[in-house]
Amino acid sequence: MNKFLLLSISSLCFSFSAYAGGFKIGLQGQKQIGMGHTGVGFVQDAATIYFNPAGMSFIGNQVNIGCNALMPNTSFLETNTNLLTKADAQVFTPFSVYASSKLYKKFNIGLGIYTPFGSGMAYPKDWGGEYILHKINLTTIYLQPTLSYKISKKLAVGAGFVYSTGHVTLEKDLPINSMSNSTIASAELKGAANGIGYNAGAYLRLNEQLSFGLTYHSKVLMKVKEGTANFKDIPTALTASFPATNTFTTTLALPSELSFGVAYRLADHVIFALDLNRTFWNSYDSLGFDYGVNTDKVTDAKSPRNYQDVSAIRVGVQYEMSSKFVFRTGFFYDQTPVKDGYVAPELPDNNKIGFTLGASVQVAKNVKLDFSFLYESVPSRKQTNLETGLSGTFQTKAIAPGIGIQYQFNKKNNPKK
Amino acid sequence: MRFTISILILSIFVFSCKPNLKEKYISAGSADFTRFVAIGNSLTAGYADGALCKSGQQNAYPLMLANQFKLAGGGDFKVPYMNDGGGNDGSDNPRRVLGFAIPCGSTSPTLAPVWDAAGVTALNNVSAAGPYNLVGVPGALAIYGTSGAYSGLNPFLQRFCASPNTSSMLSEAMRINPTFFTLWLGSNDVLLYAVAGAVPPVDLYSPRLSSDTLLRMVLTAMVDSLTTHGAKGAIANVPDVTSAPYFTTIPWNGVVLTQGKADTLNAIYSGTGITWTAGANGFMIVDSTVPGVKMRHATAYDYILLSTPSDSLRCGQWGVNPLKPLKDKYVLDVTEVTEVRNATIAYNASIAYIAATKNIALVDINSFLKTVQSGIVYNGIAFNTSYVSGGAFSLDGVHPNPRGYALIANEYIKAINAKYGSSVPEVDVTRYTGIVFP
Repeated sequence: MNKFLLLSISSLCFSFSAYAGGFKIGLQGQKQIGMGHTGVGFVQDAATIYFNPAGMSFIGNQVNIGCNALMPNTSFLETNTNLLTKADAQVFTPFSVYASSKLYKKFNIGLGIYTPFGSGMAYPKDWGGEYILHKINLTTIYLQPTLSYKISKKLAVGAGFVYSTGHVTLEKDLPINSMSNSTIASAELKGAANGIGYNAGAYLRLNEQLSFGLTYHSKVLMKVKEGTANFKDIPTALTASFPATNTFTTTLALPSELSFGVAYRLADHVIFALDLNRTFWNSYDSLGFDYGVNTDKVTDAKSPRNYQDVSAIRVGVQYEMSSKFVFRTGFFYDQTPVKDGYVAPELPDNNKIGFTLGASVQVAKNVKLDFSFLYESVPSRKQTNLETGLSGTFQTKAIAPGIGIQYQFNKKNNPKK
Repeated sequence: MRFTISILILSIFVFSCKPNLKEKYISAGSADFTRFVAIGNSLTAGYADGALCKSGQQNAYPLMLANQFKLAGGGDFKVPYMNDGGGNDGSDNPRRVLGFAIPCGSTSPTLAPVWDAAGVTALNNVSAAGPYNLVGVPGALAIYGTSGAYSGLNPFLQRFCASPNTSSMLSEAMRINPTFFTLWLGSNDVLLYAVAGAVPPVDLYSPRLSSDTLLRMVLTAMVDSLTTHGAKGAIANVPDVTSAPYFTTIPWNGVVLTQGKADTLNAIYSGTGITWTAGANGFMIVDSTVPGVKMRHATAYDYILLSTPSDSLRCGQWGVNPLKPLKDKYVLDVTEVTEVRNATIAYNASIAYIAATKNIALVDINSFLKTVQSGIVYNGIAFNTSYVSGGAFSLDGVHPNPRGYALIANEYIKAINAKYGSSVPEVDVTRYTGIVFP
């Protein structure tokens, strides 16, 4: 029964795309989401492979699988034309799978598969920004084999190697009208990307009341080596300028992040957690496309992004009502890396405020079901983009209910190495 | 558990999941758009690609304005439409479209403006269905604005006015009993002279620069009539003609030579004081002020007009051969440019004066086109004033294409909103087509 549950949940979550502010996704573990996505200084399940690899030394042998149904709603009010555009409603399902096991003496080994970055926006075909962006889809999946070492009863360190794989799709219309074809010309860039990095952390469980964690996620350069650039509905007279099939290369810098976390037991059944994140987005200074074939109209382009380093604060509280039921709530404030003048349809970002709820239920001896609910608001931001001239107000709200399952291998009955 | 569920339900109510952005309230401010009339020349009529045709009229900026005004209480807007087809330039030629032509000295076809295969559209008389809100008269000078005789001479006005030889542009506009008007005249008072190469007038019908005094008098009289019953309005000024690709497309230094060719030419020109060098040279142009040879090299201050036959430039030795310097009618030379500019400055001073004294909005198209000339970006579409590739002008190099007209409509809206405290939304330029490629 348990295995069936595991299977069905993982098969539900086969679609990897996800939207997120600063295209980082704060949905990496169900219990953690319930507490405002805190987990650097408070280790409670195998999702610690993402939050703090050192935490593996404190959780025993377990598997955690979870996914969310992320449903963002974005609106755009163009200042000059007073036209309101609603981005297409989409459901994204970022997922995570974590497994952790004792390896040898003080070593623990684990594997995490999760989706830390992604974005997806789709605008109606005839909206005012059609020559800037029609659709973007960016997905990444991190595979992270991880090792932790328990230095003492209180202190552990851990590190994982990250292999990142993903793909990017970008569609926009070209302002080229054709005599013979009423469909406007368009460009579609598509490519698979991959990169490598690491994730390292330290965790100190000072006593039953207090614990600390420190984690560093490295930068990952996602390289698209052989993307395809398709130009469609190009008038005959211009086909030489827009080769129907072209290639491109590009690199997307996924930022590094330093996090500090602390957890404190306020009362017998109540734990408070706080995470502080600093994300080094300045690595994303521009987005360039280097085309295989250059023509008078298709030239290598570098468009400035100039993202800035940002901080986030996350807090959460957990209440253990009984051995069967646990409830959580949390809050976060996440600064936007997008500076004034750079807000674009691909990422209509602003400082984000989020509110979360969560619960866990012990359904069998070794099985817990985790539930989470995230509400996120990206408040209105009125901007004129310096590059494209698009002027208007973006606003986004998102909800993301999530479900997860945890299976704890019983040490006494099923001893593992 | 129950507590958690109720919190969850409560949170869904408290935090709405949908953005609450709403369109702004649209107000007419102190303007009244109930009956709107637009008076002007070809630019107001929707003339493009060298002719007035129905599809051009459908993309005329006054129609775009009327559609936006409707959001602020504006009424219907009647356009004196042509019949379908390739349109008419007033001399029974249709518009141009982009097609392929084989330039002389070449075997491969290249993109070039060609006659619209749909052919010329005869000018239909639609006066019975008048009056019209769009009083756009191709060829009209500002100084003819109040002339009743003019409707007997101009076939574009004749086809929709109440009574030829009597109706003037102003009287046609007054039939609407407008509550709001736009007035854009004066371009032709300088442009017709400039596009003909600023050739000295030979008879009554030759293009010439209008007297500024007369222009000011006529425009003042028109605004006085239009505002008699308290109508509000906007007056637009005259763009510097050198903003238009008609004057800037053919480079002044289009004669590119090898050393050998330059040597040959220098031998031919020996004794004239004119020399040629390897690389780019200015075209040879007629200049009666040059003693002896009456010709000289063009400089960066001279403009070679788009009307110059390109095959003659390529293969006919025009502008190179001492017997074939470019004639006055193909060149707006430095002194003519100054003459034309000074006239434009004077007209625009008059128009600004009228706007100020009559307390109506001034639409500074002249400044706007200078901005376009240096390049603008609208929602990801780049515009400049280059021929074809610039995306704003039509194939005649003088009149905008639909996207260009939409940009102009927005200049009107900005000026009107600023003057009357209205909040008429701008036109979405991305909805309109640019140059159409085969």
